[in-house]
Amino acid sequence: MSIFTQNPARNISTLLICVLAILLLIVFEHAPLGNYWLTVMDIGIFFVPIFFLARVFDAYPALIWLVALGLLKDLTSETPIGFWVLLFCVFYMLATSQRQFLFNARFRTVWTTFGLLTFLTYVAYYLVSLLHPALEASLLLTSVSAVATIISFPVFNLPFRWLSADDGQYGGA
Amino acid sequence: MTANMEAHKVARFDDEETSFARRSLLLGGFQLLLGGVILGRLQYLQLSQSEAYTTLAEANRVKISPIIAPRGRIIDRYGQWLAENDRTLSLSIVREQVPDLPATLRELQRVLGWSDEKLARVRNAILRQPRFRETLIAKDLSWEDFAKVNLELPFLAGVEPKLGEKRVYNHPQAVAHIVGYVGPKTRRDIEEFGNLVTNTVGQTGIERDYENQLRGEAGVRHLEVNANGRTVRELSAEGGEAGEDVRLTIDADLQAVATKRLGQRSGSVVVMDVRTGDIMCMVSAPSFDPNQFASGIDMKSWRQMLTHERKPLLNKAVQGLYAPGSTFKMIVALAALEAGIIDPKTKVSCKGDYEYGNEKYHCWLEEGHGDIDLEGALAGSCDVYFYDLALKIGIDKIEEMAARFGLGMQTGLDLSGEKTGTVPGRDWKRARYNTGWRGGETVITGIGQGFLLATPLQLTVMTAALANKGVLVRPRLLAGPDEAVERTALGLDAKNMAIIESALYRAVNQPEGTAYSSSLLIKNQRMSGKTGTVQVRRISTEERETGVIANKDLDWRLRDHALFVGYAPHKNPRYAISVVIEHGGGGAQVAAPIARDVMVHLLENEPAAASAPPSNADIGEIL
Repeated sequence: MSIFTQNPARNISTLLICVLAILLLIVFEHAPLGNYWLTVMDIGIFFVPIFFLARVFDAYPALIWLVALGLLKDLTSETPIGFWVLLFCVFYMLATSQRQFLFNARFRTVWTTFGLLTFLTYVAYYLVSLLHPALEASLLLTSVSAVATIISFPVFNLPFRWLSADDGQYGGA
Repeated sequence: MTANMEAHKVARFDDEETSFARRSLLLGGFQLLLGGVILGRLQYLQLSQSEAYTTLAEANRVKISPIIAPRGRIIDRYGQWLAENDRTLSLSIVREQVPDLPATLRELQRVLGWSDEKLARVRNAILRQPRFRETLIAKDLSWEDFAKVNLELPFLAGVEPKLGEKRVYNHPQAVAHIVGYVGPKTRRDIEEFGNLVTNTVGQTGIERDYENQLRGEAGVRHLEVNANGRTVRELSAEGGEAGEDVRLTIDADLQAVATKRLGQRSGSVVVMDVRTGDIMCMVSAPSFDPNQFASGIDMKSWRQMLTHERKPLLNKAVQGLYAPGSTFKMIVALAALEAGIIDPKTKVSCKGDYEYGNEKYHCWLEEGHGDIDLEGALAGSCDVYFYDLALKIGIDKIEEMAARFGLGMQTGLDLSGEKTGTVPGRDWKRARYNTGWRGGETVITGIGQGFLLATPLQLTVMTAALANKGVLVRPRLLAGPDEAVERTALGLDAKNMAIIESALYRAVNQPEGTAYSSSLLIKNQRMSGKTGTVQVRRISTEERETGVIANKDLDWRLRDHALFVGYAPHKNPRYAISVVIEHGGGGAQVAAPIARDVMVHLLENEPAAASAPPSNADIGEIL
């Protein structure tokens, strides 16, 4: 039995761990690192726990938490209210739709899927930025942010891989 | 069998549940720990350090900008400005506030029409500075360019237009050595004046000596700034206190006349009011333009000035040291008269040379002056008479009289950098060369040469004391009340002073005088004075036999120095003058005419001179 085998206790634990991870990553994103590029980029590491959550938890409470966390992100990033809510939800929906495909998939497939979904989400990010006057649209910065997010997936996914206790499923190389 | 398989499944399920629960607890615990650390840090920053960070935040939001007080003007005795402030428009940049430096610089290049070289220079200057430091990228902009940049400011984050002041100088060449100039603040300035808010500080002359008075007190402006450091609004402003004006005793027009009269020559002209010590004119040539320094002089021009043969940066009036030559003969004469060693009617026979020991000393008049008395010797500047006189009285009395007239020491002028000169004597020579004084040195000192050195200002002060009948007046450059004048009576016999006075009158106004050709051509005004010609090379016996080479045929550095000291009007003297021309030739031919022309301008244009001259009794009372 894997983590994908549902039971209520597991669901709550998984949800809480993911929510807490997203919260911490949102807070960490605003840590003053003194680097200009890190400040202006929007590296979406929080998409990693959202991706994990989407694969194991498709019940509506997850969306409620994501809306709340998206609002928090909007507040801390001083973006228009709803911007990150939209992106979190879009990403979660896209990831949820791939659950069947990713079931028992190899890690390389999972990573590639994460990459594609992240790419689509950042396309949305760029399009909304183009349309909204309060947002600064930069194709370069958006692209770099997306690539950085995709590259960082294996590292930030490690705790969730460990939690899933399904090394065979993730570890197939 | 089925039961066993079922049991195995349940056991495996329990193991996985246990494993998941353990991992969830560990991961959740780690996350909570991380969250706790963040909360703890938040508590520390928000509550424990609240006050400190509030202050820092306020300082980050509020920029304190100094309001530089307008620097005081420097004006001449009649209120004509010599140094004042002019508006200057400049641009500065703070790198850390610029999101895209190359794009910003390209935009500035487009707006200001910079060349690619200029752009590269500016970029290098910016990159050399720390990111947080402001770099001046353009100065002395025209209004048009300044306005263009201001229009583009929304697209030039980090660029700050600045409205400032720069120092400008009137009659720059004429007053450069007195007024000095301002320049960028240096470490030496910070050590002397503290950490000033101003970027420029007086570097030389009055600008330096009266820096504290001229600078005034800076004010403070509190500005609210946004995250980019751009000013949003002014919160408050406390105006500073403008620097005080400094009024000099100089007459700017007279200064300009003297400068023009000196022309390309190297030398100085000093004019002093003999009653108050006011320096009316103090010119040193060649000069320089202090405006060049105020706006930043280039290295090439600076090197040229430093290495120039005629030393334009040197204020020759107070820093140039010259043998006074025959202008020193009055001191020798007074030393002899005061000591009662000679009778003024006593005559000496001048045959053109004088033998002492194995040496032969020559008079400037090859054929000699014949039998000549003291007044005649002074008027005709007979060297032989003074060789003889010097030996009669000895070096000690000459040294003592020279010191009484202020030679060999600073005059006390309120301008820094004054040289002391040298009045040689036995002790001086022992200390300097560790040898005894020789008689031949007394002989040569009798005509103001040898080791003797004086500044043109010292010669003027000495002449003023002669004009004042033996009262030494401290010279001053800062205008002040008459009560502040410092006078020292030298305690000289009036009869002796009268002899000198008569001799100096004859030197300029009678045909036998060396400066007769330079006598004043103003009705009822006469100038008294004494010429001096100082040899700067040794003339060999062979050269004397074949004919001494004329100054004009010599290299500039080998020509004689030309000097003249004098005062006017002869009756009730008001102004003393000294003219020293380095390697100028004869004092009578070169220095005296310049003195005459300067004095003519002074007497014809100076309001004080136009007023009724005071009587002798008045002078006595003033003195």
